[in-house]
Amino acid sequence: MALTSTSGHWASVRGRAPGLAGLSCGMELYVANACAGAMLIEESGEVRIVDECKAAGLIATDREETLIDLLRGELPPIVAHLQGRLRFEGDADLALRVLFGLQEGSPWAEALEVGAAS
Amino acid sequence: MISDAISILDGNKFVVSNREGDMEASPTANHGLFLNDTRFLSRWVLTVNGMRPKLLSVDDTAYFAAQHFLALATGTVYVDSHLTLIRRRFVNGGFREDLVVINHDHAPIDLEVEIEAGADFADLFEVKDKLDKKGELYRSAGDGTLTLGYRRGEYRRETRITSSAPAKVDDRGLSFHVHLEPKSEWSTSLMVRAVADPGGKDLDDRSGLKEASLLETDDETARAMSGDLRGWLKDAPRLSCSWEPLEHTYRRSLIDLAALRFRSGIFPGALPAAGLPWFMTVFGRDSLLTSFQALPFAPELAATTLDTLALLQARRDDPFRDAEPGKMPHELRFGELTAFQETPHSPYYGTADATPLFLILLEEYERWTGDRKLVRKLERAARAAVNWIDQYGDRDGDGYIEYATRSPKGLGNQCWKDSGDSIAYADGRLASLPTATCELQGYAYDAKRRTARLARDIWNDPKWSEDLEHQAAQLKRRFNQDFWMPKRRAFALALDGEKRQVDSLTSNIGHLLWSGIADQEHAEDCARHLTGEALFSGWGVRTMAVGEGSYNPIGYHVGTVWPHDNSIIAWGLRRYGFREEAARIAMAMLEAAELFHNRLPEAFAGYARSSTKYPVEYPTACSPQAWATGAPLLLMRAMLGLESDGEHLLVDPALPDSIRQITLLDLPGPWGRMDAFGRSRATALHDSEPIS
Repeated sequence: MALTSTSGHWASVRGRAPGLAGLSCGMELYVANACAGAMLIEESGEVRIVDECKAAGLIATDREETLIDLLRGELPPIVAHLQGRLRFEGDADLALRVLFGLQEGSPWAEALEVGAAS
Repeated sequence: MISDAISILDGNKFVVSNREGDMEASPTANHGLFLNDTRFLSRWVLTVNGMRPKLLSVDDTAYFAAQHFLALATGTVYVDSHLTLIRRRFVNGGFREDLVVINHDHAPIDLEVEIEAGADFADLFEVKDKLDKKGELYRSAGDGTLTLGYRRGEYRRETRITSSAPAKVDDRGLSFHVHLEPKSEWSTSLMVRAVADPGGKDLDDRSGLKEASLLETDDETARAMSGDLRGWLKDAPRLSCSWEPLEHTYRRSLIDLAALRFRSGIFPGALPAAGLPWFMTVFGRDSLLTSFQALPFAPELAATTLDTLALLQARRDDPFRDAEPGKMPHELRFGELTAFQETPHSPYYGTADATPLFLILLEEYERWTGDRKLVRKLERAARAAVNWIDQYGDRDGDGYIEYATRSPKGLGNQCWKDSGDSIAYADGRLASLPTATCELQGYAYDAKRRTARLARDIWNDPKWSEDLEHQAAQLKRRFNQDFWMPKRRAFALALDGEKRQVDSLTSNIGHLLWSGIADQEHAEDCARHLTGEALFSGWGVRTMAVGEGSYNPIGYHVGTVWPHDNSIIAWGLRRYGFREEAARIAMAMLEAAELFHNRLPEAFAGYARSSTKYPVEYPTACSPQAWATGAPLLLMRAMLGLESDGEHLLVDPALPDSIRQITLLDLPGPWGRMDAFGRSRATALHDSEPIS
């Protein structure tokens, strides 16, 4: 999906993702080979982005749109991975749990508008 | 289909060749190097001086390695060949082939040794369904490497071929000019690397696909794989049996289970892939049932299966993938069609039984391992699974799980008999959708009872436990009314879309015994049917009874015999106290296994044993296939009556007459390691034996 007026805005989104409850971890986010921050997940499923580049696992995407689609829980992570748009480092299992968990409900899905183009 | 082929495999990486070691993919020969559901090599042909060497012998030395002995024919039986060729191949992220040429002559010889290579990069579904590619194939040669590639937009896959000996490399393949002195030999190692994303700078060896594509083709890796297999066999319980073929079948099963372990690099540990060649991937139903069969022998498979399926459990409603919250996946694929969402396998959720089977395995796993930590971790997944049974599995609120696909690419039948003609009335008409097959209700019943125990004992939720027990009891009561056919004295195969009974007599009734949903008063009729001539062929229980409208002894789900089905039936018969009947089915199946060289195929034909001394092959059966591989393990459990009450190993043997004794040492469980021993009570056979 193409996004409208979201660039950069995604990093300020915070809220609860029910599917992440119980994970309690951090996940480094890379976009186009550059660190874009880290996702911090609390036991309750509260999630936010912080300006850090150090965490147990790493989710790297080819571009910002891919990351946002994943954060919104709209893009199946296996599809992104097979297309070469998503890679994992460190704890790949945990990264997948995060991305699948976001499909259950995501604060980014509520906060970010999505354009009609695809 | 692959009976004249040689297959070596390691999880979802496998090589299929002819007996000479060549690969020539065609619509009738599914040869090639396959990795992540993609064929990275479809042509691989060895010639010497333009001729193809002739086969002397072939030996699959390990599940991941094979060795082909060849000779160059002289064209006449009066002149011996003086040239031996040995091809030793082992699979990993691609494969390595060590080629040895030996000159036995007294004279020197000059040879042109050539390897012709090609790759079609077919998705496994394209191989299976004969579909055309949408992207562009390319090839290049340089720096001693032949590169075969495929691109479709940003999607790229490559196969890179190199050799240890200097080669002339061109677009067609690799060639070597070999001069051999008398009584000397020449060798080279051919390395075939499968590369998932050659252009991706940002992929490294820790990302899932890339990890699988990294080729470690040195001897150290081969030794590591051999060591892994040795460790796997060493950890398994040790069997001795008075009927020697069972020992061979047991060993074969353990080795095949090791071979079928699927590691993706993005999931924790290894879980059973379903079967070679079409189903070398995570299959919810197959991985769950195989793990169940193997639990007393290799409990770690169940742990990984449960953990991985919980990870892939659906979180959202997605009609294209037949996904609903809490549903367990049917199948996960890694090929091109999945990447471009032309098929829904990322994952696909069109299975109505994997979700209750997940709950069944979870409880069984805890009883056989005492691993409460994993059960606590998976509580959320279990609750979502129960919710799926009630909210989504039961589509119309009648209290039964029924299925009908919502996807244009979905499966019509979403039970284990998932071929299009499997759910039919006795007159041969197909049942309408949504369909509620009987075994699904049994699984749901068993799942709720078992989950009730976990809720009570581990999740500390006695109220939910009580609710689940109550729901299970209600389901059983209604099921025995709605599915029972008084005239046939059998359970209906299903309820159709109009809630009419689908009245064929099928093996599904055996699953009702396994699950415990059948009332005791009906169980005797079930046992009589399962061992009667219409269902029991003499080699095993047919999927559909002779005389039904759709019966076909070589119909995939309408007359063939499935080993895994029989293992579940045997265990179900034991559950209801039909000890002799269970032993009879177990023995028939194990005798069939002996005739299949100790490896039971996915399915075989349903012809009566009285008409054939050998079980007849089903033409496209997968082999090895995970739950067929697991069948002998569950049959052994049925014969020995092995149970765990969570603390103790319970043994209650009921052996067939032709097996005097079985000893199984070092069965793992919460008790540590324990032994099980069983001996036959039959005397007739023993009395006839000579006294020495």
